[in-house]
Amino acid sequence: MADDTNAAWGAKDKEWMPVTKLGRLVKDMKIKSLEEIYLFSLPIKESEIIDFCLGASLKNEVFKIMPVQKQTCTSQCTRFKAFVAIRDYNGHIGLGVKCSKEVATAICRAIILAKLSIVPVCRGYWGNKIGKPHIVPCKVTGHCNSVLVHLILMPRGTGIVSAPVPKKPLMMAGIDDCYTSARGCTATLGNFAKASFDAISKIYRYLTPDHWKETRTQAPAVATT
Amino acid sequence: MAAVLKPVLLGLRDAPVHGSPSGPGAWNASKLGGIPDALPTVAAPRPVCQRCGQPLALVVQVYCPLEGSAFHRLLHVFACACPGCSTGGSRSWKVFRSQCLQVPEREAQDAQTQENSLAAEDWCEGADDWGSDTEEAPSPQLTLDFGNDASSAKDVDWTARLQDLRLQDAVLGAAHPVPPGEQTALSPGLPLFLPYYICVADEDEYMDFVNLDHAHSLLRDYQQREGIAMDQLLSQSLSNDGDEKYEKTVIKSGNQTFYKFMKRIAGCQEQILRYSWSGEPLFLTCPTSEVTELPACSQCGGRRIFEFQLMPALVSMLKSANLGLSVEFGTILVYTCEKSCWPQIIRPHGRILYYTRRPR
Repeated sequence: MADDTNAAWGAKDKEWMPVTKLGRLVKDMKIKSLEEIYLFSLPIKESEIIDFCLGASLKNEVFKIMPVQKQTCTSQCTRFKAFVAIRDYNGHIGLGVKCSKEVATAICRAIILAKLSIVPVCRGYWGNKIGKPHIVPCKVTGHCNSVLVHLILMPRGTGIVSAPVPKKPLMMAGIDDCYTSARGCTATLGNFAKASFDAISKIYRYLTPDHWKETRTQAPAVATT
Repeated sequence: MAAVLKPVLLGLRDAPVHGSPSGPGAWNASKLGGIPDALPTVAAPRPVCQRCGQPLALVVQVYCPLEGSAFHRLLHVFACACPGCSTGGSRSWKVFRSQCLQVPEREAQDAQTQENSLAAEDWCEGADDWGSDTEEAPSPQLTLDFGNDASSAKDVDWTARLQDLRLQDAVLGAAHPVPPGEQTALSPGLPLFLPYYICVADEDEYMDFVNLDHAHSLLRDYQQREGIAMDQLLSQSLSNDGDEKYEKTVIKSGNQTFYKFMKRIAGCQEQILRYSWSGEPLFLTCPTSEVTELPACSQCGGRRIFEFQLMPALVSMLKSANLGLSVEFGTILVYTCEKSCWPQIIRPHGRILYYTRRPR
């Protein structure tokens, strides 16, 4: 599976000038990791924030380009829809979908959208806590329009049992063993991919027993303004 | 999108200002930070904050004469740098406009290439009225020549003569606009940002810059993996029965206006000022009613139009030498009187509306 690292692209000769307060705090190294931003649910509006925090470990992958058509009064207007998934090997994954007249522009913009939609992924165990976490910690369901995707936890060694479309985001998230069940018009690739991504992003919303312990943290400056 | 877009000029940070320049070279230049320079007939503004009463710091000084106008025009933008007021909204900001009539002997303005090209056209129109040739030897040292030239100018209007006299009186003071002793007395009380000049560029030069190399390499990998070429991709569209539709991007964090703002400035991220006389401002978030319903000019009752806006990149560039001052804003939109009214009797300054927005 060939994909390109983000670092090669990130070596721009232009310096990043932040537009938002969060961007300025990240650039001044007052916020050191994405987890601090996630903890306070601060909206990330600049993709350069992700570049700065995750940097060289980010990898992009185009997993589908498809032409879509729109009927105008004179003819049909063809545009290209690009699905780009982005991941780092440390439990973050993002999905971007963008339509544009040219393929390269669509890919470029989809990468930015993928970065803006990066979410953390939590993994757990099916049975005994031996070895590394390998599956979703609980059953989750994601949906996008008519498509429903259920992720069901399985013992180690099962592998990912699913259609090819959700297999990719699951593999990128680092989930090794999973059953999936899908419902709805799964032929619509966009909705199917987004539903599986939605399922993965719902994992952290579930309060598992290891999160029961109380933690106290200091809010960063931007959360209080 | 408007059918005809007004041209937009971008301000970019240039070299730092060294020392404290005086004379026309000072008030002809646009700069950020530092001490405000005043036109020869006008006192330099020294405003205080409406919220806390502290003196305001100069954010930018913009020299922007209008096309077809015989006035020098200077705009100063001040802000309160106190920690309590930095998020205070429009009450901690003040904008001043000062104008003075151009005198044809001041040839050195032709050399102001760092300002709008409007200034150059302006000169040629004004020269004919005064009956003097603009090709006469430009004299960079102007301070002592005023007195001689005023007496030798022909067909001089009465108001211009009045101006000249005032200039002559003011010259003795303007030669050292802020005497060194006074300056050091001011600086402890007056908050200052480190001064830099602002250079001007056209937005069109930066519009087409998009780096697509990475996207092309990803596309190549995709084609290799899937085993299809570009033309096959296109032909797929004809056989496709269209179950995939074009979808509009929905961004979950931020909004569409912010995304468009980011796309527009992506070509030149270090822009700190966007100048577009009676153009359209680039909004950061959806504009509220405060911006859409602007009050009329307080001096003449005329309509106010958009002139320029300050960009968020300026926030990181405003650094102070010792006190750790800072201002926070998203973007500042400055609206000025459409007619750029200026009374004959010289008053220190005129007020203009200002507006601020801040995203998270």
